[in-house]
Amino acid sequence: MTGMSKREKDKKNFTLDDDDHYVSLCQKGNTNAFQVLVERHQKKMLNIAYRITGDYEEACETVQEAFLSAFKAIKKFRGEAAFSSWLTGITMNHARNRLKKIKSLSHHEGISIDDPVKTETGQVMCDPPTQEDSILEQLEKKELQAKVQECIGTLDDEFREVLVLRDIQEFSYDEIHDILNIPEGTIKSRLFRAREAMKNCLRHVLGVI
Amino acid sequence: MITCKDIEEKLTAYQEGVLSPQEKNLVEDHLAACAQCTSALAGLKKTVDLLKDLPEVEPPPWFTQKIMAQVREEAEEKNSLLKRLFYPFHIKIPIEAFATLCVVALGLYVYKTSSPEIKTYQAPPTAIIEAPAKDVTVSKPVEKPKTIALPETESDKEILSQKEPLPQPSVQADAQRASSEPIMERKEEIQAATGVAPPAPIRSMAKETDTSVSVGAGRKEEREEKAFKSAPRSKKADVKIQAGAALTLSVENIASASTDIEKVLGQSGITITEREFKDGIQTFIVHCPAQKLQWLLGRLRTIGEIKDSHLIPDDTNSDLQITIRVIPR
Repeated sequence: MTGMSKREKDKKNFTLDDDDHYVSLCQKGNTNAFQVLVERHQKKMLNIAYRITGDYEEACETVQEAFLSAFKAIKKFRGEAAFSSWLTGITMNHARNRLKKIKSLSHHEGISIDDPVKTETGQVMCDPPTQEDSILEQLEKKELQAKVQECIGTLDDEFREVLVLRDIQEFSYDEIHDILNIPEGTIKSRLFRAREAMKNCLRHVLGVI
Repeated sequence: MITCKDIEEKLTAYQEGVLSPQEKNLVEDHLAACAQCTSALAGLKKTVDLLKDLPEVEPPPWFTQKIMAQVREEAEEKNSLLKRLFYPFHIKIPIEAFATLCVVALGLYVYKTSSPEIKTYQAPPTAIIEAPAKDVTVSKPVEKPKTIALPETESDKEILSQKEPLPQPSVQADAQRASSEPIMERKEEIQAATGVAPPAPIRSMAKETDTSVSVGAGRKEEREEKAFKSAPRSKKADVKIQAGAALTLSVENIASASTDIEKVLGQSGITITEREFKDGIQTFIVHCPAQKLQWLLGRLRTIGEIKDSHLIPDDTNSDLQITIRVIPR
C-alpha cells in the first residue's frame, strides 16, 4: 500500500467534531444534516458491508437499511463513542443479519455453477499453480482480489468481522471494541486466528504465499 | 525449549507490535535462525498486504438519493404521526381557551342581567301568611283582572297608601316583578286608574241576600248556591270588597280538611284566589260574598274548629277577602 492509508484519508476529510455537529442537527430533526453524514460515511459503510457479505447488491441494501436504522435511532445516540463507530456497529449488525439470510437462501436454493467451489470443510478449492509462472502472472489482479474475498467469506462471522475492521478498514482496537462491544483481548485473539485462517486459505487458493 | 509452533502463534502479535520486549527479542532471535518461521511471518505479512490492497468499491451514483428518500419518507411518517398526536394542541388550546372565556363572559352577562329576578326568587315568600290580604287585592288585578276587582273605596286607597311590607303571594307573582320599586309605581298607577277605569267584573249578590234568609235550613244552601251562580255580575257600582278578614281553622288532618274546604268552596262558588301550604299550615285566600259568610262559617265549623275570627262585616254589600289558615289541632 502506497501513500496515505484509507483511515488517514478519512480523518483528513473530516473530523469527529464535525460529525457531532451534524448529529446534533439531526437530533433536532434536520434531515439535510443527515444527508451530510450519509455522504461522508456511505462509502466506508458500503465497503464494510461488501467485505462482510461478499456481494455488492447485498451490501447496498445493507447500507441503506443501516442508515435508515441510524436515522430512526439517532436521538438515542449519546456520543459515548464516535458516530462512525456507532454507525459501523449498526452496519455490522445489518450485514450479519443479511449474511444469515443469504446463507439460508443459498442453502435452500442449492449451489450455482457460478459460485466458488468449496470443499467439504468449507474452504475454497484451490487452482493448481503452475511452477513456471509467478503468482501475479498466474492470476490477474482482479482474480486475486476475488480469491481474497472468497477466503474472507470462508471465515466464521466473528473472525471475519474483526479481520475486516482491523486489516481492511484499519480501525483501532478501541474502535473495534466500541463497534463490536467485545474486550480488546478477544479482539486480538480473533484477529490472530482470522489472519492465520486467511493465510492458510490463501495458501490453498493461490498455491504459494 | 521454544518450538516453531510456539513462535508461529506469536507471529501475529509480533506483526501487530503488541508483544512485550522480552517476547519480541525471543521471536526475533528465533526468526534469525529459523527459515520456516521466517517464511510463516512473510506469509502473514503477505496476507495482510493482500487484505489492505483490496480495492474500495464505490457506491452507486443514486445511493445517497435513495438513502435520503427513505430517510425523508421515514421523517414524514414520524412528523405526520407527531402532528396527528400533538399538533392539534397548538391550535386547540388557544381555541378552547377563547371559547371558555366567551362562555364565562356570557355567563357573567346573563347573571348580571337576570340577577334582580334571581334575588327575588331567592327571597322567602313568608309574607303571605303574616301580611294582610289587602295587598293581594292590589297586585292581583294586574295579573287577573277578570276575577279580582280593583279597590275603589277610600279605605282601600288608604290601604294602598300604607307603607307596609309588600306581600309575596306566590313565586310566580314575584317573578313578574323586577324589584319593589316597580311595584310601588304600579300601585300608583292602579290608584290613578281606579277613579277612571271600571274594575273588572266580579260576582255581586247584593239583591239575592234577602231571598236566602226565609228559606228552610235544609234547602238554604242549595238556594244560596243557585242564587250565587245566577246573580247578575254587571252591577259594578254595588260591588265592594272588604279586605283584611282572617280566621284560623284548627283541624285534625290538614290534608283532608283542605280537600273538604276546597270542595265546599267549589260547591258554593266562592273563589279561591290564593292557596299555599307552608310550615305545616294551609292557607286559603278566598273571595267571599257577604251574604255567603255565615254559610261559609257554618260549613267550616263542620270541618274544624274556628279558633279566632275577625269576620265582622261592616257592610253587607261588600264582598270579603278572607284569609283562612288551616292549622293542625
